[in-house]
Amino acid sequence: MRPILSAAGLTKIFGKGCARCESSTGPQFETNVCRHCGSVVACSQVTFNLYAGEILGIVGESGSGKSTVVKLLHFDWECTTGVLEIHDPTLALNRANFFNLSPFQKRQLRNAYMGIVYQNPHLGLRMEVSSGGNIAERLIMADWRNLVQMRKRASELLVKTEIPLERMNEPPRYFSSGMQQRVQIAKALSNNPLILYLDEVTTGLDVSIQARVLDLIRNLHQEYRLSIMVVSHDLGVIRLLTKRTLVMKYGRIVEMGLTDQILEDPQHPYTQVLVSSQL
Amino acid sequence: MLHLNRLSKHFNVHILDGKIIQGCEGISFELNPGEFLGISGPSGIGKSTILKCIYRTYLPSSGEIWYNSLFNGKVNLATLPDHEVINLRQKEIGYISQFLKVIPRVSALEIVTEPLIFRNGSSPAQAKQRAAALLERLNIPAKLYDAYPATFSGGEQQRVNIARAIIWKPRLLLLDEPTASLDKGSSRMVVELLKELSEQGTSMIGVIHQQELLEMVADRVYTLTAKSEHHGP
Repeated sequence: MRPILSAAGLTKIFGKGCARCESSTGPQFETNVCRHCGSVVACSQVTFNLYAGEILGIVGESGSGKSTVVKLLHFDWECTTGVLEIHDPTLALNRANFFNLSPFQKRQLRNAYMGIVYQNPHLGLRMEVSSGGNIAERLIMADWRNLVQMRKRASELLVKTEIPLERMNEPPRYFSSGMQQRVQIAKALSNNPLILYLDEVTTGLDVSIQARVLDLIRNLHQEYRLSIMVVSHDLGVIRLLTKRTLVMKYGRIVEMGLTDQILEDPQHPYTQVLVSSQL
Repeated sequence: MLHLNRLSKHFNVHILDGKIIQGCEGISFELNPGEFLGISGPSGIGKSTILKCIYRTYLPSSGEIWYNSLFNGKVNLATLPDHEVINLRQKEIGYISQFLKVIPRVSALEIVTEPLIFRNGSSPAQAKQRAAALLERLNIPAKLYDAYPATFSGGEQQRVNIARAIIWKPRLLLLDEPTASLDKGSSRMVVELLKELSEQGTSMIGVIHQQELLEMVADRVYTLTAKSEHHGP
């Protein structure tokens, strides 16, 4: 297995920050707020590889920094410090640290190689634009120009994500939350991404809808052999989808391992609490 | 092909004030290619712990697990990076537990077909044919092939579990009480299938409680007792 993405020393501090931010926060202090300057250390020194074709899980309680990591990797937020490498022979850009790319290059990279599905569909979809239009918008950003081809691609993806084609021209605001999530998935897949980020995609959905979305993700992963990062606080989702998992608390990775090992033989005190708290 | 050198596993339960629970201690043995090594001993002595350490579901506390891999050469499974363990699980090492742990909403036939398609690269049609033949040998009625195993009896679930684990013919197969929930006839059928697998070159380590079955299938038995461990015939 070769890494497709390597993140090293990923750190994000909200606030002015100070020299003691990282040394005064974390699980041992049970806070991610710096007592010296009041800044929030959302994540600190996060280092890991994502391997080609794998689904990697990030688990942790609310505020542990798991979504921050994904948002940094998707260039939604600026990283305070850290190194990001993306290894793929098809990638035109070749940089030692992808965080140093210009905003234009970052957008280009994101549009051509990444997809993201947010917990809140309002972040990933334009609710007033038709479902097909949402997908077309993404395709245009990835340099598609032919309307007929774009419509064909949108139809294919909507069929794959189980959205009835007769609703293609309807805006997602009229859809149920499960359907909105599936349109988001279709949109995220439209540019054939190398890497797909799923940020709490099933949170807030009722159980049967959750199951359908999870089945869809599994099937799409098998079909496209995507490299996926799944952020969830739900160990059931992590167990079902992933083979490797990072456990985060107060912005730090406290444990990283095979998912079955994390669930059956957790090493860190926090992971043991997390696993033992599962219903 | 596999050499355990003074393998020990203890569990440090932080949520019980750091209580230490001993899993297994100082386990050493070798497994030869194509051999079936049975592990016997009373409940709670650490038989399953050994298997889970080899499969890396448990992180060994000390000792080494040397595995002669086809693709990576000689590797220590106790310390091998996670992604390489996943790779070995994908290509060489299989595990059967006492219970079927699969994705819900996947039919019995698909569960057995999947390893052939994704590990061995078989075509879906070919994989389905082989999976159906194996399920038939394990006495799973054809009408259940497209049903979800969550609705099956314990014995039926376990037979699907066994079919899924053996169909891709792993190089090393770890068996943790695979016949525990099976009747005598089904258990004998499983033993027969394991023997065939062994003849085709799969090496196996198995925890099987029924002495009679263990004797039928094992080339050698490693017995664990409270104070010492020894090899039997």
